[in-house]
Amino acid sequence: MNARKTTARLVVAVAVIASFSAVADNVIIRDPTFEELASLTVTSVTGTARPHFTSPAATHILTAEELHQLGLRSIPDALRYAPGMQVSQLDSYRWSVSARGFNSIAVDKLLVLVDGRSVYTPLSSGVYWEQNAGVHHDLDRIEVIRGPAGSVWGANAVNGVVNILSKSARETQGTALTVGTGTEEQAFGSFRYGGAAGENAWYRAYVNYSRHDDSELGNGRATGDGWEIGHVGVRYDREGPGSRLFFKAEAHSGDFEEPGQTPAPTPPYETSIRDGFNRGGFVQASWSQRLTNGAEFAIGAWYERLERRLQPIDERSDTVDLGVRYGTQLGDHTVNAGALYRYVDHQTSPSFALTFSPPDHTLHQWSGYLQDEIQFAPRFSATLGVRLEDAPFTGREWQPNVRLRWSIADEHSLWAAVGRAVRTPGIADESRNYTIRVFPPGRFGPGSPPVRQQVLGSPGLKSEVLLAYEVGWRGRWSNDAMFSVSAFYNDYDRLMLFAPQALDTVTLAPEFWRLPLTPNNAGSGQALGAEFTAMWRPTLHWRLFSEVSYLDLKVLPSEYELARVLTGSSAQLQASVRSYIDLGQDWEIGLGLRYVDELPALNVDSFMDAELRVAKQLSQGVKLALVGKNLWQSRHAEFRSGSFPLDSYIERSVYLALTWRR
Amino acid sequence: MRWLAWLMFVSAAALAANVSTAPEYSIKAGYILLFTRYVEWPKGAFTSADAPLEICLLGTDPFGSVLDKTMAGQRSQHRALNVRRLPDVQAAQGCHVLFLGSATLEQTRQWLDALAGEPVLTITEDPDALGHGAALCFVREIADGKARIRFDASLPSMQRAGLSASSQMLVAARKVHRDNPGI
Repeated sequence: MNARKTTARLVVAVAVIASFSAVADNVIIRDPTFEELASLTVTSVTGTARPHFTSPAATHILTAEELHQLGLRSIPDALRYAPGMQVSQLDSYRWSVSARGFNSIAVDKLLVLVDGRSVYTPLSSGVYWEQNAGVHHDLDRIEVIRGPAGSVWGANAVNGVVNILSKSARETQGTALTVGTGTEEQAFGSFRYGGAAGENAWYRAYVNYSRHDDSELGNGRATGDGWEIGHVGVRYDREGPGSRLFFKAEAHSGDFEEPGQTPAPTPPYETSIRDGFNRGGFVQASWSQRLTNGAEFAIGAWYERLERRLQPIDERSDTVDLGVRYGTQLGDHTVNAGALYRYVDHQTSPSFALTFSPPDHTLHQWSGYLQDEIQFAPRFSATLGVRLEDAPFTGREWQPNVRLRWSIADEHSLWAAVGRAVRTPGIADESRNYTIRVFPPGRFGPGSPPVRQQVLGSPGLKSEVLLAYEVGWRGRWSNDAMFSVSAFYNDYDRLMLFAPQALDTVTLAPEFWRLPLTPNNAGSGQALGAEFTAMWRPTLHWRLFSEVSYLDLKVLPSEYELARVLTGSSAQLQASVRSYIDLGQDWEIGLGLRYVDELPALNVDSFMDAELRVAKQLSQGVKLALVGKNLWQSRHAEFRSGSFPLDSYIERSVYLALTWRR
Repeated sequence: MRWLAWLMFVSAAALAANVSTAPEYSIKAGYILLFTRYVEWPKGAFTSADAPLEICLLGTDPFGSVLDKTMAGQRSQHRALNVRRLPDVQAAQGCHVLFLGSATLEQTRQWLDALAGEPVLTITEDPDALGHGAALCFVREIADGKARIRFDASLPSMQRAGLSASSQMLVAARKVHRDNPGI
């Protein structure tokens, strides 16, 4: 065999493969010979099958392909198609994203990670979605784990974990450019270039930008919440024998028009709001090494800087996070252990509406976990996990978890789990002094000064606790049909509620009186629910997905207004269907249909909605897509709240996008 | 179309550094295509002269759509290639190639026992299965920190199934078991 000729053939073959694979993500080897196959080295151990969890938990994966083919450009929009997730868009850049209930303006029981980096804010334990919402070229998948995952992921993984993962730089070689315009997404563009950085090492550099139109008020006027954001970043991946090195750095800058009014000390006791911003960046690195005994050791670290002023908060923070992980196989036991340390330096600037006392916090948080998966019979396994955490305000917290799995057949497994998870108080719960509104003078009797209605923090708060009981069944018939069912009973205790206090005529006198709301741990709650997902591929070119979620959540005691609101602010029934048709080489059609039940406590009606994307490949690597979003009705409301008094509606929208890859 | 050629040339240059790598199951799908061309089946294994050659998968499917796409539009020994995924081993009737996805050795043995004497080219990823009737087994060969995919073949297993492999294929095997391994 002529070696040089073989190499030349391979170069051509792989070049063709590569230009195809940039589009299809599948590498197909045409006309192989035994010599060529034996000379190829393996780049990936996992192949290209749709990844699916085998872990005994209620998990769901949305692949980037599924999102792109529906034209979904934001992570919250994508999560509408994950079972058990509640997504309500408040206005153009605010979303309530929660799992298994507790839909609110500041969801605090969901942990969100981007490439392993936690993106929740220590202030309120919520997520600043405006900064993390974008679905970019190089997203790989979103993994959604419903139910408590605190034993592995740590505090605040109470009702679920959302894991947003981007592709390895190895898989994003070459150039990709997208430009688009639409009625809501007025202008967007992204550019990526990926190349090799020596043997077994790859990089990519990327930049993206998007500008979004306002949502609409009840009276048809613009809300005044247009925004724009840009990201620029690099990622580097190196794979050696048994080792992986990963580095990522990114900076972002976003500017936001702020709708509504904010309380003010002088008549008319409210004022319009300056434009807001969110700027920051991070660097992140991780390294894993397989040891000679088969064990694996990994270490990772990241640093993030954030400067953000969006009503009512004006804050700056520096976060450093260090983690180590070790996993090994000991007979029938698969043991994983890890430790994490996080340092947060958080500063706020006081305003009339919101102050923190003290304004600055330095937090140290450490935790360690141990997990043992025991294969105690050929078809039975048990996973025992526990995490010990030293939380900033409450001290030590235990989060144990037990999971059992029974493989009833090769592709069918039953699982059951019991777990305890905690949501630890954040800085805001401890130390906020938030004026919601100011009542003008004379409202509380003749001669009374203006009265500030305030939400206060309380330093003695304990963690909210969840005990969760779950069962599930996951099955699949070949690669063409699969389904999962899960049911759960969640028992919450020490939920944080707000108790109205008597009119305080002393503290702020003589300028103001105040009407405070103070937090306590008086709440308890029960949630009963079930989720169903199915995937079916009737033909190679047609895939169907369906998700159904049911949730019955009750928060007590109902004397508390917040308890009544939480009880009635999560959709009891949600259902969705997605259809993806690949019409030959050139045309793709993606259709998504959703139903969301009413939110009685928020005065939000049930609604149907639809997404449609039609795309045509104009030539090799060039694709044009026309996407319609929220098509079912001209506009609809998804959320209303007393602390977010805007009556804003989400409008029907379309956009056109052109993608060029090579 | 000249610009398209340029485009390909540019991407070839960009990828020249990693030109000799491919995902594991893309390589394995390529091998399976070649096996259909270098193995001879008994005449009775096909219902007619132009019946397609059936490639079947049992157990966990690690290929996704790669196997289908590798076989799409290809022909072997003047026959079309058809990929099927089986719910259980009883459905293996009519299969000419059968890939046994990852399972316990015990499960793999049960499947192989059920197929004993059938003219099926059984492919596993567990070398121990060659001693229990599997015809071929994919193996990883690790050299200089890089993994390559090769295969081992068991002549006794192929003989019992009534199959014969060409010498070109056996030369490409990492190891050919000519007697029962382990004896």
